Amino acid sequence: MAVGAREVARGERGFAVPTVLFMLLAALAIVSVGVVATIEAQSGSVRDQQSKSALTSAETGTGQALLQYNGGFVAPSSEPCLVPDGTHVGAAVAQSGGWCEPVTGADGDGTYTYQVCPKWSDAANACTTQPTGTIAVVSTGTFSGVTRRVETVAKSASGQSMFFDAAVKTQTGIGLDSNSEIDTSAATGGDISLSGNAKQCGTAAVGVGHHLVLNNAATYWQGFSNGVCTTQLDPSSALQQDLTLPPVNQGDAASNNDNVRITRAVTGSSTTPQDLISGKNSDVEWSPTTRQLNIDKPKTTLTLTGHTYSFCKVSLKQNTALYIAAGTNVNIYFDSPESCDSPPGTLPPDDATYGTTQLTLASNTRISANSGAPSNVAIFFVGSPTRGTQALMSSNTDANAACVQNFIIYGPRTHVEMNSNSSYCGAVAALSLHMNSNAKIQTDALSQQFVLPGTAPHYVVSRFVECKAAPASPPNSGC
Amino acid sequence: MLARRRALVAQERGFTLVELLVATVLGLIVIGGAVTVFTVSMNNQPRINSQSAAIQQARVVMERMTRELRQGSSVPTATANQLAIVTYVDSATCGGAHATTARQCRVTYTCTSGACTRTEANPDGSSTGSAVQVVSGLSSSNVFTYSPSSSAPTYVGVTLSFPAISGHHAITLSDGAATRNPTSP
Repeated sequence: MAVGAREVARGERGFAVPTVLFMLLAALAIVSVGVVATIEAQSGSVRDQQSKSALTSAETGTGQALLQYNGGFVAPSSEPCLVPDGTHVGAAVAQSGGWCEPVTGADGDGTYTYQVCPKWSDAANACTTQPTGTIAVVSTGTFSGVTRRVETVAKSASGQSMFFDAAVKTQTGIGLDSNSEIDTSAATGGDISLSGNAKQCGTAAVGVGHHLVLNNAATYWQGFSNGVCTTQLDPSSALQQDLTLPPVNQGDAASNNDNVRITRAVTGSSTTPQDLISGKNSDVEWSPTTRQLNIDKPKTTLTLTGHTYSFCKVSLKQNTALYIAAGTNVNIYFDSPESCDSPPGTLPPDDATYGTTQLTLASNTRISANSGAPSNVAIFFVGSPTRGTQALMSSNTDANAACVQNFIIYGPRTHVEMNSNSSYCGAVAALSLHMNSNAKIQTDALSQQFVLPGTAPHYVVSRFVECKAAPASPPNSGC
Repeated sequence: MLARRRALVAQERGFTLVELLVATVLGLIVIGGAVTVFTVSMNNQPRINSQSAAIQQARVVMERMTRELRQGSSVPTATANQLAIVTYVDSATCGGAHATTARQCRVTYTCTSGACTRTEANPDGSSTGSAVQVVSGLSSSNVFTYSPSSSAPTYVGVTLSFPAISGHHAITLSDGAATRNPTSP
């Protein structure tokens, strides 16, 4: 052994090898600590990125499902999972619990699987077997082993009964002043504010986080029966709920309509069919180009005999009337302000607060059935997300006040203003509603059952929730 | 054989003094460097651990914030250091126990003095729960940005900035989300 050491010493190799080895080990240890720390830090970023990708895949699945249902098609009740191209979402029959079978697809490097409930009930928060106009989609996205699951609820106004739970609905709020009164249930996504002896006689629902506010002797009642409000309630008992009023889908009504019947009546044409004017034809001012109708010669009436009309502006004043032929189903569409104001200046805004007044009923005017025979009248306002529109009823106007028709106004982007003893019977859905000076809204059962025309369904998302990642049964469990 | 061994012994020179001095100096340098690195690491480790924990906590908070933003609807309060949003949370009651079904509540994040707290309340702002600190050690309390405007935001950006510590770079986490639910008035 001593000889070996001496030989090493004699070789004069010194400490080179052990020193280098020691330094390499030390450097490796230091670098390893840094590398481990970097990997840990990067793994968090990678995980975050994978989570986002998985969420994107899940939302892609939701988008695919909604695209299927926005295809201008209403599935028959016997095949709720049927989609427009003749295929089915999953299998031909719904799964147990009403959910269609899972559909799987790919989104780049991610994959998604979605299930659709074609008859979703918000109230029950579950899939049902009755048509509701609401669908739910639960979609699971997966990316590199990371999973995210989302639930989306979407609603369509087309082909649906919008008023079964409340005959008065607005998106942003309802205001009642000075003895005005709503004698039916009302719902809004905002506040309901009552003042000056105003009355809400029917259950009220306000938006989530909003209130029913009573000021100056205003009151809130549970219902309305035999001409009186029944059972006074505390305003804090008003329900809170989400409310989504999908936009109007007017289809081809702007170009394919019965406006020519008005033109024939106004011009005195002998061609039939045509609408009916009481009094001189020239007392009705009508432009088929701008689609503006003005009747302001006292006691002049126009009776609509067609089924579909498209207007930009209608103005009735001085005891004039717009009658609906007995037993007729008529849909009156007010086109968007952008379409109507072309070229610019054709229909400019006339109200500083609410924009363009598209319907004006003033001074003892009325819209009603001309014989009292029941008919279905639906007035739709397409409106605009950027330009305000308004329907104004004032000074003793009467819109089906005798409740002889099934009458609705549907304008989710349009403000409705009622004042000075104006009366309305039917159902109304609007962006907002303000009533003043003894204005009154009543309803009847038939108006509440009114089904919006079956134009192409267009589903609008009303609820988006992220669920627990793991798939569950029923599909929306954990959402 | 014996003569050969004597010859080998006669040739043994061992380590020279210079070799020993050089080896000693090199060894001291290596050991000194290692000790210095170790000492600096030990001194910085608590702060590095603290910053790492804060960043990890911030990552979790960021995930939670963006999730609540995605599920949000209306934004009652929108300032640079405070965000109140009506969103879905997995609680039996707003501010209450955890539940498996989501419900809408008003969640408020308030950032002051480099720390952010989270508060749950009913959607109308009533029954406010206790504030819980969710992140600290921020270099700025201006955490939130809004698009297109703070009066009607549809997208909320979140930026959590941590200051530089002991020569390390400052760290900034940025994310955000567009609200997916319809905006209540």
